[in-house]
Amino acid sequence: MKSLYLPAALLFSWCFAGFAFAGNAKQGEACLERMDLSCAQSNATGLGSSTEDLGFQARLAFHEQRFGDALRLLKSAVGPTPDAATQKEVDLYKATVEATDGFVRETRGDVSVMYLPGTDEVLLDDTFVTLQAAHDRIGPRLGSAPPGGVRVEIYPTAARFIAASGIPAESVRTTGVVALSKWSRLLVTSPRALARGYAWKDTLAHEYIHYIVAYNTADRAPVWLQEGVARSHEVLWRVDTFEDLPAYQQSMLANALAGDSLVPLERMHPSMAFLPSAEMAALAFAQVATMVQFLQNSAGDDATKRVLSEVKSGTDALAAVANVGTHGDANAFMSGWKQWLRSLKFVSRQLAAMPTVIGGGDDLSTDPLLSNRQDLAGFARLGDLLLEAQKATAALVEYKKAIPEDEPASPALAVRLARAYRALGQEPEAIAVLSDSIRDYPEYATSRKELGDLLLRAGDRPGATAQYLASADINPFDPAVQSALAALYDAAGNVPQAERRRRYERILRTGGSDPSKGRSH
Amino acid sequence: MLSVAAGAAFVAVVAWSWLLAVGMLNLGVLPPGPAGMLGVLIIACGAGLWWLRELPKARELRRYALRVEALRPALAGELLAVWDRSARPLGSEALVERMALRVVSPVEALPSSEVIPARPAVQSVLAALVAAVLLLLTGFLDVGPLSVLGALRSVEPASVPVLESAGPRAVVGDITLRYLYPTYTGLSTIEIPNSNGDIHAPPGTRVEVSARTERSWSTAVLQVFGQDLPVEIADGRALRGALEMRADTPPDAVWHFQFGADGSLMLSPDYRIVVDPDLPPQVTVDVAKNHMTAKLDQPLGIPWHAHDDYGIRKVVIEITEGGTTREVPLRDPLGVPRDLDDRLMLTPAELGLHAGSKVQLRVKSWDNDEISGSKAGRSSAVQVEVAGRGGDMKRLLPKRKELRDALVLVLAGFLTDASPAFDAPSEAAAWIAEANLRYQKFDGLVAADWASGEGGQADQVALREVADKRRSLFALVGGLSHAERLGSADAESLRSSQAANIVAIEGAVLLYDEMLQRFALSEVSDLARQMANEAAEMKADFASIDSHNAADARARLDQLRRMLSDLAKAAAQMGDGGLRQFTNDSADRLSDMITEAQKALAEGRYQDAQAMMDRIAEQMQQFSDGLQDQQKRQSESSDAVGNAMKDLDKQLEQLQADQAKLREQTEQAQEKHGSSMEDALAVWKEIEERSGSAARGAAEVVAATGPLGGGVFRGAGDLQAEADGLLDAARSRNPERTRARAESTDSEAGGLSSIISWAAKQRGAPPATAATAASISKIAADARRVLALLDKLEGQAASPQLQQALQQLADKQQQISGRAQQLSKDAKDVARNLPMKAPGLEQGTRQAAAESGRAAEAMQSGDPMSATGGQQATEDGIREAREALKQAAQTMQSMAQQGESSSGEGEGEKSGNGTEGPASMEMPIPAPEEFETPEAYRRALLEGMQGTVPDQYRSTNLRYYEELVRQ
Repeated sequence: MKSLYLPAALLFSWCFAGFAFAGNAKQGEACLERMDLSCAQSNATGLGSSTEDLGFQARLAFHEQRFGDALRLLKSAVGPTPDAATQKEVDLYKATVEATDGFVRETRGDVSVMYLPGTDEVLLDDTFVTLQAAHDRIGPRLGSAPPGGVRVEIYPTAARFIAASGIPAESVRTTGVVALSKWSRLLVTSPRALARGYAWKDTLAHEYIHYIVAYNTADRAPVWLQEGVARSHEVLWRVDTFEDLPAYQQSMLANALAGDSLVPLERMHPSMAFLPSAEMAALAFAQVATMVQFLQNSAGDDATKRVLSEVKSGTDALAAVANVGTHGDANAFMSGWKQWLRSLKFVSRQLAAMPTVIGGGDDLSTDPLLSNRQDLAGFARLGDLLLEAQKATAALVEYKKAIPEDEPASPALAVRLARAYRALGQEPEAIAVLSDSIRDYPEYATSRKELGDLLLRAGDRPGATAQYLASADINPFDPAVQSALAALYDAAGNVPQAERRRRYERILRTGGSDPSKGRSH
Repeated sequence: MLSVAAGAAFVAVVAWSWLLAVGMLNLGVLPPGPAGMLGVLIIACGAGLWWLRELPKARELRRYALRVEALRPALAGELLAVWDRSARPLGSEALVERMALRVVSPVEALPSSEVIPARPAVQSVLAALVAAVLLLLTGFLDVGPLSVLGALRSVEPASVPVLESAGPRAVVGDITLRYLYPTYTGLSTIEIPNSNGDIHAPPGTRVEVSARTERSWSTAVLQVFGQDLPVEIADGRALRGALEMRADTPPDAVWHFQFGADGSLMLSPDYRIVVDPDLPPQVTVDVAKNHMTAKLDQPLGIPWHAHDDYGIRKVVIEITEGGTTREVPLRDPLGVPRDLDDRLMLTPAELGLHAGSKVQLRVKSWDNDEISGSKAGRSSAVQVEVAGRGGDMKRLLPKRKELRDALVLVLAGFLTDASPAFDAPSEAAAWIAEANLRYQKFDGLVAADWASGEGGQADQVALREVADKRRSLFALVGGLSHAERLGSADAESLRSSQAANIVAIEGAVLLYDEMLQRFALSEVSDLARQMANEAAEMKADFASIDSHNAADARARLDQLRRMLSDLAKAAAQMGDGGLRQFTNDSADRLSDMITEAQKALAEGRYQDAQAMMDRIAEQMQQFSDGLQDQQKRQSESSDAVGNAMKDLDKQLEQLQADQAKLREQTEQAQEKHGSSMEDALAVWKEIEERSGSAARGAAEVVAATGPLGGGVFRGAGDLQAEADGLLDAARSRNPERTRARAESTDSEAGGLSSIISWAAKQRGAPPATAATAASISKIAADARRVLALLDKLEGQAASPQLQQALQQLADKQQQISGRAQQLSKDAKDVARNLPMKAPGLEQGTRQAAAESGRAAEAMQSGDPMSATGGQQATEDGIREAREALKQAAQTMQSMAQQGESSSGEGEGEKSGNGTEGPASMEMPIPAPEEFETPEAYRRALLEGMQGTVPDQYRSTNLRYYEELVRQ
């Protein structure tokens, strides 16, 4: 009798293991759905070769940035004739493999960054710094950080980002979506892929916040809440309090509030990227960001965390917001928010939204205003020709004609006005024009650089440093700015920073730091 | 069985030993002398024999006897006894014999395979067979099996000399080398007496060597390339041999004599053999830039030069287009010249290209190497774009740039100069003189390049506009110079004229600038695309770099740098905006990267150089993509504006048709119900006639008073303006405006008469001619008549039926008015996005919006005259707007062609001067029959070839005769 114990135990173990394998794949999928990568990884051991197991392993590999493995496993799982949905998944994996061709990986701590060796190397340090700061400063405000670290991909071109993200190219162009948090990964387009660069560090933090929110709500937060939290909190990695909305969004929101033309929350589903225009997307972002700000203003710093917790437990997002913000009265919350908005002193002047311009582009054709006003762009161009002909006074006349009646000078025009003033020796006027423009259009790197030059000439080194830094934050690929910063840091005795900027300049001038790094074949 | 096994084994042993010897000889393990070979054979045979030792031996027969007894128990003891007794006779022989007879039958019946296993025999046979096959195969090796035999044959064990190559060498002197070059080289035989023995010659050259030795030798061979070549010995010391240069001669090849006498051998010193390689031809093209644009039917005119060591067999043009390469024969020279200088005078059409083609051309020359085969050399690549209609635009570009820059200076003057001062009319003349100076350069350019209608319609319109506005302004200012005082109306006219002048200049500057910008972007974009392709090719071609191809890689990088330099030049033409910055920054970065790559190559860091080339390719591709994006955006933007214009025009056309239809309905209602309005209609017709008369008269007065200048001319101008306004108002049957204009016209006419009289009296200016005075009086009379007719109309009203009919139609007019207002806004939006000014568009739609509204009001109030007048004015406004749109569309098309011109789209065009290029000239080939004798024919040909022709015709001439001689 005793001799039967061992075979029986073995049989039992085998049966149990069989059930456990099937259960692990399903549980692993569930873990992935709620952005819990560690949980998924713990369910991936000892899996078999069933379609379900291979499929899960493929998805896990995709989340873990093992794209080649993911594609191979998925193909094994689905066989030669996959259904339409699976084929779509195969296509995405394949596109991602191609989009990340030549990429290398750098890992520091829990953050793993994949990028194409070359000039994008200048983004690396700040990527790690930004994510670490976001983890330390924003994470605790929203709940716990997702276990298993953070995986980032920096795509050198918009085309590669579009391929890997699965977002239609038209949507990217229309609404300016250049980054994505999905599949437990952060997909970011390099600022060099855009004509003017962009505030990529805030965007990186923004996407990381999406990841935190998804994890802390088991991915149950609707788009408006996701975007509201991300947009309002994206700056908190570098500052302690929420920042005002950009001026153009303030004027847009003020107008929509007055005209009762706010974007309904339902229209923001499934993604802001699918809204019909950049203006509407900007308005929607402004709405949800201020809703979250209002929530925290009225219910305290931990209000967002509490809302996310309620959403995770299955409460409707708006109801959760109302529960935390206005004792369960959603209407009261919305009317309170609108009332609060009306009390804010929004910029009333009309300002154009900064367009997302992919690839190279002339500054006139990428200007928020002049790109849509050929008549005014013509005056600006005439001013350029006159300035080139060293007729600065006449150039000023033409430049001033390019200022619309009902708006301030556009950023590209402000830079031109400043150059004309500078040519005439009127540097204070030049500084004033640029300072005003930066207030309205803070994300215009050229204004920052131009102002930096002027302040440097005026002997204001700290001011110049600040402007050059702001310029480099938006467009780190200008070697002249990096060079200027290196010189300023040298003068200030800040050797490490000076060396860092010189290294960036070298990278930019030679196309990368280490020629043999990640050579593609 | 045993004998088979033994025999096969023996054969196998010998064959394998042989094989071993051959193998060792080929691998160089064994020196090629007989001693080593013999040693190997001995060792191998020994080993083989050891193996044979293992085969069944005779003494083992007893064992087989025992085995037979075991298989046939009946023979137990007998067979063994027979065996023993036969080996050692003992006892009765008869008994043994009987025993033997008894065992024979059973033993013979037993199959041998049961007693002796067949395996050893089979193994031996197989081994022998395999060895035989391998031996046969070694026949293909340099040292085959026969060599081994040969070596064995020469074995002289008793006198094998030991030859030490490092030992003393025989003294050889008086070496004479005689080179007999291959025929294809065209080199004559040369003899080098007192040579140091080193041989320098191309492959295929036979070198005859003669020399003398210090002492006598009985035997001598010339050892070279591993061979012993025979040497003729005369008098024991004079030697004569020969060798032939081989293409595969190793770099360290030597030759020497090997002497023998009295059983000893000695070598002469080694002499070097250096092959003069027959290199591929060197081909160069002499072009300042490695890309060019050519017209379809214009000879390319690329000078080229080909040089080869021994002769050029043929020259072709290699054309690479869209990834495929083809060749077009260029020269098939008579004889085999070593140098060929020529100029590519074929046209793109003759090369099989078409307008818009973008190809890479290389001149490719083949040498006449008959020994190692003909080799080709290629020139560097020249990128050729075949211009279509854009070719003319490219030609005009520098002129347009000059014009733009000249106009910019003119504009600067007007923008910063507020004169003439309104309070000092006397300064006006000086101002005109100064302002005219601003146009000096512009006038020169126009006179030189544009006066004969050069360029397209857009150019002519822009230049005419500039000229008209300038004339108007200066005429107005000229008038001011004679004025005593300037009224507010004068000041307003001046301001307006100044502004119009500036707008015209701005419009022309923007037109030319847009053309230049589009072309520059297109050119930079094309260059970037070419560079991206070149960089990608370079990356592929140099996937592996070592010392052999490092120089080629450097050359390719140099080429890329030259292209970068061209790109920087093209970028300099771009606007001072972000795109130029983007281009310049990218070019700078790529230049730095090329420098890094070249540095890495120079320092032997080939891996780094490869990586840099990869990055250059990637950066170049991204840069090119960026520019393509910009071009695409520009194109999309143009398309969007174009579509908006089309849409607007379509809507305006529809509105115009609807308005015309409604006007007809209004007129029909008038006819049906407006018998009482017939008088009014007649009155309005007369008003229109009188107004027309006044306008025509005013134009005549302006023409007549022009020479008088000053205030008279200015007054005539004012009169004309009012008279023209009167006619417009009358046509639109607007009673209020007509009345106001009629009053003004009357007043201006009176004023002009006074000025003329005053001027004649005060300044002695010639009095107006009687005809002019009469005209002015007539204008005043017409105006007063119009006022009287308007008074007459005031009392007339439409019948109630007509009023009712008009009111019924008023809704439709209201709708038209609403559409006109919307289109006026749309027109404003379109105008904002036009790259050029289109004042007529906004003005026309504004007029349509206003007049259609007035017509609606008139219909509501039952005023048929004003209603149809307003309707007519609406149609006029729409017509003006559509005309402006059409003009703008044409200008945009001209601009767009600049963008296309670089890509050469469109049909080909004839040469500018209408004459055909030299390469297209047909030259009839004279037939031999035309000459009296073949000699005369040949002489004529040779004279023709030698004849002096202009440089550009030289190659045509040579090609012609080359063809001719081959007939």
